[in-house]
This record gives sequence, C-alpha cells and structure tokens, in this order.
Amino acid sequence: MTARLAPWRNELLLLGLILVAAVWASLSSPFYLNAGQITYSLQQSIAIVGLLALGLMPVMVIGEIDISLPAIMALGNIAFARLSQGGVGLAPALLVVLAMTTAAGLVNGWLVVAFGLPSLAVTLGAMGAYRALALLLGGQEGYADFPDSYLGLGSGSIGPLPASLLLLLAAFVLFGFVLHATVFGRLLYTVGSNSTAARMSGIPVGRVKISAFALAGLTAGLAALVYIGQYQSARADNASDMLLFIVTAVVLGGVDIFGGSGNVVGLLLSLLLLGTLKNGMGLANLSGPVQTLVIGLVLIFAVLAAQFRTWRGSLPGWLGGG
Amino acid sequence: MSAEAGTAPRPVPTPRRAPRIPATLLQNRVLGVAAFLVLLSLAFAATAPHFAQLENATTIALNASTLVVLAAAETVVVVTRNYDLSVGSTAALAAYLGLDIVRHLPPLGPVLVIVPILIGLACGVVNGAIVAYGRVPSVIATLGTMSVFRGLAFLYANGHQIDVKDLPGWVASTSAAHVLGLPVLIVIALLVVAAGSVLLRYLPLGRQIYAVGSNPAAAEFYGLRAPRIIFRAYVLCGGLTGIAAFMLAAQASWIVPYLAQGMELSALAAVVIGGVSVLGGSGTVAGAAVGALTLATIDNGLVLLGASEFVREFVQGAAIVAAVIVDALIQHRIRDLVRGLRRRRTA
Repeated sequence: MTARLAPWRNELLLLGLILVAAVWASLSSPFYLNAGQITYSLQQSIAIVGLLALGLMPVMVIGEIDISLPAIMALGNIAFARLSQGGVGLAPALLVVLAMTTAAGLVNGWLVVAFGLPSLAVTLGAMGAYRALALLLGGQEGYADFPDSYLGLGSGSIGPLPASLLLLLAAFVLFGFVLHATVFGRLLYTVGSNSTAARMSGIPVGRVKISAFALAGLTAGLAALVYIGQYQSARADNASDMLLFIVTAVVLGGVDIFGGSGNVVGLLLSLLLLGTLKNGMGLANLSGPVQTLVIGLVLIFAVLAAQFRTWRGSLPGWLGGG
Repeated sequence: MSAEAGTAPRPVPTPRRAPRIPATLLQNRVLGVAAFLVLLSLAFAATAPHFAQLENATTIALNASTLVVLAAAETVVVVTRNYDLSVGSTAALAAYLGLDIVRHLPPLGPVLVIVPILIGLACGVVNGAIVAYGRVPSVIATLGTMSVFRGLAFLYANGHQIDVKDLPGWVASTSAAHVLGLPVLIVIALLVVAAGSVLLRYLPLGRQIYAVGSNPAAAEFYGLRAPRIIFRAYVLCGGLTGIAAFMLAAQASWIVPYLAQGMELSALAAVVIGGVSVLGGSGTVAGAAVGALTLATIDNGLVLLGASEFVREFVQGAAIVAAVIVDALIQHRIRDLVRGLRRRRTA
C-alpha cells in the first residue's frame, strides 16, 4: 500500500497540510466552518490566480517562467473595458481578448526561442510593456460600467457553487487531459526534462515552447473575464501583486522548477492550501503585507524542500544524507 | 587540458587569446549606450524647455544617484548569471529598521551609516544562502525574499512611519550637503561605481564572479567554488543595497515600509540597458551606471515634455526588451567570431 502511494507523497502531504490549515482556521475564528463562507472565500482567493497558475504550469514544465502573466491579464481587463464601452457583445469581445492575450504570450515565447534569451529577462521587459500598453489603452481611471453579461462568469453562481470556481475546475480537467493524456502534453514534459535530447530526437522544441507561452496567454485572457466579473471594474494596474501567489502555487504544487515534472492534481491541492491559508489569515485579521510575507515564506520553504532531495547526497549522514 | 587534470586547482584563469575581439566589442557596447544617452540628451535639449541647463543636469544626476548604487548592486549578481528581485524590499527593510535603530543608538554621527549597510548585508546573506547553497533558482528565491523582507519591514513598522526630523541631523543634511562642489549623494554614487569597477576588474573576487558567470562548469573545473562565489556576490549586493537604502532615507521626509517599491525592476532595467548580459559573465558597473543615468534622463525629459507616466513605463519596458535582444544578438555574434577564429587556427 505504501509503495503504491509513494509517487503521490507530495499530494498526500498537501492534503494533510490543507486539513491542518482548515483546523487552524476553524480554531482561530468561529466564522470559518461554514460551507457558504468557504466557497465564497475560495472564490475570492483562488478563482483568478488559479487560472493564472494553471497557465503558468506548462511554461514551468518546459523549464521557463513567465512573470508577465498578471500584466497580460490586466491588458485583457482593459480590453474588455474598451470593448464594453464600444457596445460589443460578450462573445465577440471574449474572442478579441483571448486572441490578444494569446498573442501577448506568443510574443514572449517567440522572443525566448528566437533569441535564446532567459525567459525572466524577456518577460520582465514584456511585463512593463504590457502594463504600459494597458495604461495607454485605458488611462489611469478605472472603468466600472460593465453590462451584466460580462459579469456573469466572475460573480454568478450555478446552483450552490460560484461559476468561477466551476470554470476553474473545468479548466483543471481540460489541462489535466492536455498535459497528461495528449501528445502535446507529453512533448512539454520531454522538452522540460531535457531539451537537447528532445531536439536530437526530432521534436520541434521551439514550437513546443512557444505553444506553452501562448497557452499561458490564453489562460490569462480567460482569467481577465473572471477578474472583471469578480471586481466589476478594470484598471491598468490590476493584479500587480498576484505574481508571488501564482509562482508559489505552481512550485508548492510540485512542478519542478527546472522543468520536466509536476501534475495538475498537485497544483489544485496547493491552490486549495494557499486559499485556506489566506482565508484563515484574513479571518485572523492579519494585514496584507503580513499575509504576503507568509506566502513568501511558504514559497521559500517549498523550493528548499523540493531541492532537499537533490542535495541530500552532499549532507552528512546524521542530517539524512548519504 | 588532460595535462592539467592531475595538478592542484589553479587560481583564476586568465584568458588571453580568444576573448580579445569580444572584449573590444563589449567595451564598444558601453560606448554605444553612452552615445545613445548623448543623442537622447540632444533630442530632449532641442524639444524640452529647461532641459539643457546645468541645474537640470544636477537634478538628473541626483535622481539617478540612488538608482546607480542599486544598479551596481544588481550588476554584481547578474554577472554571476543570477538575479536579485529583492533589492527594493531589502532597501526598505534596511532603511526602516536601520534608521529606527540609529534613532535609539547614542549619537555617534555618520559612522552609524554602517547600521543599514549591515542589515543589507544580512539580507544578502539570506539570499545568497538560499540561491548558492540551497541551489534554488534565483528568480524564485528572491521573489520569495522580496515579499519576506517587505513584510518584515511592515511588521516592524506596525503602522508607524519615521519622521526624518526625528533622526540625527546628519541623516537629513546628507541630501543637501556638498563635497568639492558636488552633492554628497552624487559623490557616494561615484565612489560606489569606482569601488565596484575596481573590485570587479582587478580583485580576485571580481574575476571569480566573471568566471562563474561566463561558464559555471569551467569555473568549477578550474577549482573555483561557484556556490561560495555566488554567495559572496549576493552579500556584496546586499551591502550596496544598504548604502542605497541610506541614500533613499536621506532624500525622503518620511521613511515608510513601502519605500523603494518596484525599484528592483528599475535596477534590472538599468543593468540590462547598461549592457550587462542577462546570460551572465559580462558587463560592468560603469555600464549599469550609464543605464541608470539613461533611465533618469528619459524620466526627466518626458516630465519636462509633459508626457504621462505611462509613456515613461512603456519606454522602460520596451527599453529592457530592446536591450535584451541587442544583448542576445551580440552574444551570438561573439560566439560566431570565436568559432571562426578557432576554425582558422585549426585549419
């Protein structure tokens, strides 16, 4: 039994931590243990970042990073605002925005592949450029005059569950299928674990990498629709503090920071854990920067724990080495 | 190579033949950025009123001085093929915690500048330990410490802020003081650039930093301990950030825990615009300083032209992308040149 569970060690650990976090939250506040409260706060804390993290996952599976995703989403928010101002219906607006954010991701991927550049440097510059583009398009003031059709996905609910959480779940199922059961998904892992070997065996590494970035852009466009629904407004500086959360979610979810491994179940569990943690911290009245500090600590411990396996060999025996 | 395999680890390798062409190219690169800065200044001088005045030049240099020091700090780390996204937060923590400690210490005068510098060093130790010894990719490690250092500053401040008037007089007077006719802040920036250049160019640690950055595997092969060198680069970066923290505090009227927010991006922008390769192993502190000066000039010129803040941000983002692409093209060109040289020698 233990042997069969061994590959799921990370997921089991996350499950245990979720329980611990939930117990802590219910002990620290009498308002925590309530189905409505939990779904509402999960919707608030993970519906948007969950989509962004899901988009970041294939990029990190190929061993790259895209730190411009929150900026791409902000660009999508502003595009929705402009389109709704122009009286465009939801369906064509969504198509335009998705095309736009996919193109933004594509540009990132192309720059990384065509010039052999580190993705951090490229997406750092792109982040500034996309956010500024959003500012140029939308100006400094926010826009809050969306028609109801635009808001349904982010603020409505289907039965007892928020629509945005159901969308997130559907996206997870879809990504799980694409990453783990299609040729494209397997190519992502192959490229991520050894891109030289992948190139030698005839895999179009460049195209696979660019597709991963484009997929991330597409997901950011979808996140934009959830965002405007949830906050009912769009501003160019939206979501500038989301990067830490999404990177933490992906790393904590067991995606190897050097690429080549990780699965969507781990990511979903890590989102639930971070969401529960955030909910508990909010109920415990911790201020924003302190919550960010905790998430930052979680990120550092998650990467160090993931690295522990690789440097265990160099430790003395009494520290678990050998 | 096989003849050396049995000998003791050698000190820093001194490459002689192959890099000659790349070296001149890279020097031209800093010249290229400087030439761009001159052209930019001429363009602003022609279009923006009051740009071409000595007073305005001093303003630009003053505004750039802190960024120059931060860019110098970032350069040391980027040359090792790593990044430090936490310099803004380190500066905030060093400024707030450091000057609050100064406030409670006996009045020893400007010697106490050492307090924020020590806090910066401590932050560098944390970053360096996680990146170099924990073998965590620097982006992820410093993204984490960015929020941790900032959060610690907020926790410590607990909703308060420090009025610079409550601090010993020498802190606030630093921003107005002059040495040899130059504002002290500009003198500090110049000293940091000079010291950083000497260190990277002539001292063993500097050469080791370049060696590790240009080829970590080769550096290890020559007996350099890459983790230790990367660790020291981060510590140095932290210390320089501590100096920048003091400069920021001296210029501010209130010290708040959200000081220097986003400055890590400006510092990285200055570094890449100044010709420091994001692939590691090349670039100079002087180049990064020119990069910082360029950003400050763009800022100043656009403000004088009445352009909006967004245009400024867009220019900064686009400049990073352009600088990074130019960097890649130059690296490819260098690789081709080196390959060509080798082929000619073997033929």
